[in-house]
Amino acid sequence: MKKGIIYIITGLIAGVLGYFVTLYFIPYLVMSKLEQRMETSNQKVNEFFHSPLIDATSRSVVRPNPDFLYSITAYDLSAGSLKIKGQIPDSTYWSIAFYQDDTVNYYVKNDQAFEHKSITLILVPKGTNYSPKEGEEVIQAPTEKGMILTRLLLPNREEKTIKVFQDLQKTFQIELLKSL
Amino acid sequence: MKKIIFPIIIAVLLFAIGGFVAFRQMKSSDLNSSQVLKKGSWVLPPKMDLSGSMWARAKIALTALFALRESEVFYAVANEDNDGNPLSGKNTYKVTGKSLDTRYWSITLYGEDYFLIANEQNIFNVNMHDVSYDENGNFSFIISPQKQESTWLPTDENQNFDLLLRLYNPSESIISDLENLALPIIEKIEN
Repeated sequence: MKKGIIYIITGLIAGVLGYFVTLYFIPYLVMSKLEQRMETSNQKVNEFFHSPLIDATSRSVVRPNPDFLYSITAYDLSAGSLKIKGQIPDSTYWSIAFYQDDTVNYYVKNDQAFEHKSITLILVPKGTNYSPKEGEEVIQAPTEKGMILTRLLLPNREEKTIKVFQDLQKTFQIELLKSL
Repeated sequence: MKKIIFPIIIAVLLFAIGGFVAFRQMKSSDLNSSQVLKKGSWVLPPKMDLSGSMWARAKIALTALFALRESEVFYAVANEDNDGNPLSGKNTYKVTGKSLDTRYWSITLYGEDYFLIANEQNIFNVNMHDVSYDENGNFSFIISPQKQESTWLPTDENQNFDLLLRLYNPSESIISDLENLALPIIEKIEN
């Protein structure tokens, strides 16, 4: 009888533990699976992949918005900090978002919040002492690895418009800063 | 030895079952839990500051990865009509709403796997520029497997779907008064 109760309690604890351990690890698994998928399609770490127009074949991230052009990269600060530079649009929504390796969004800023249309962001590991030069904004990354995602709202789906904004999207580049 | 092996096997098995249940729950489109706000057909997902909630983090990672905080984008999901029935690709629905105080809004239709549903017309969503508004600021559009003359969002007859409403840069009044936010009504008009 006593043994049976111990078995039941142990079993319950194991089940509850399994539930919460899975909950904890799901975000890490999702991010690592996405990184693997990006790697197999030759998308490099610390280099933006400018996605084509979103349609039913876009299946790398759930719930894509077909009105947007996305640029995405996995980042890794183990070799140094990153300088992210590019031109943002002046007539439509655009934003850049940084995510930790557990999917938590720790920074997001849109076109209306930037003072200039040419922007430079410096992504450094948390606690790094960096004095920004004029026009630079420093972002402290809580995790060494994560994701950067830009969203650009297409005002319409006319070919000419798409081309203009795809060219703008491509101005975004990442440079590795080995020493600060 | 046998005395130890049996409980260990049971514990491992139950650990795995616990993990499976967690995964199924998080992957499911069912958001009707106490952690979300429900308004008509729409469910307002958990606060997008995910740092404090393991539940919200796992749920969003599987069903809405890279969602942004509500000051940037406000999200609402509907997987049922105004009578509480699941949204089926076989039916025709009329969506009626009021213009929303936001920089941009859209309603996107997703299949059961949370991806866009292929269709000949390549129509996957309806946004604030696709609809026409009457003098009171009301709009409407049709969701149906059959092509429609008015603004139309196509479905796949072989699966259920859900709708994701996104409001980019919503006004302060929307964020601070979600209880009174008038979200679109989804009404089945034809089987």
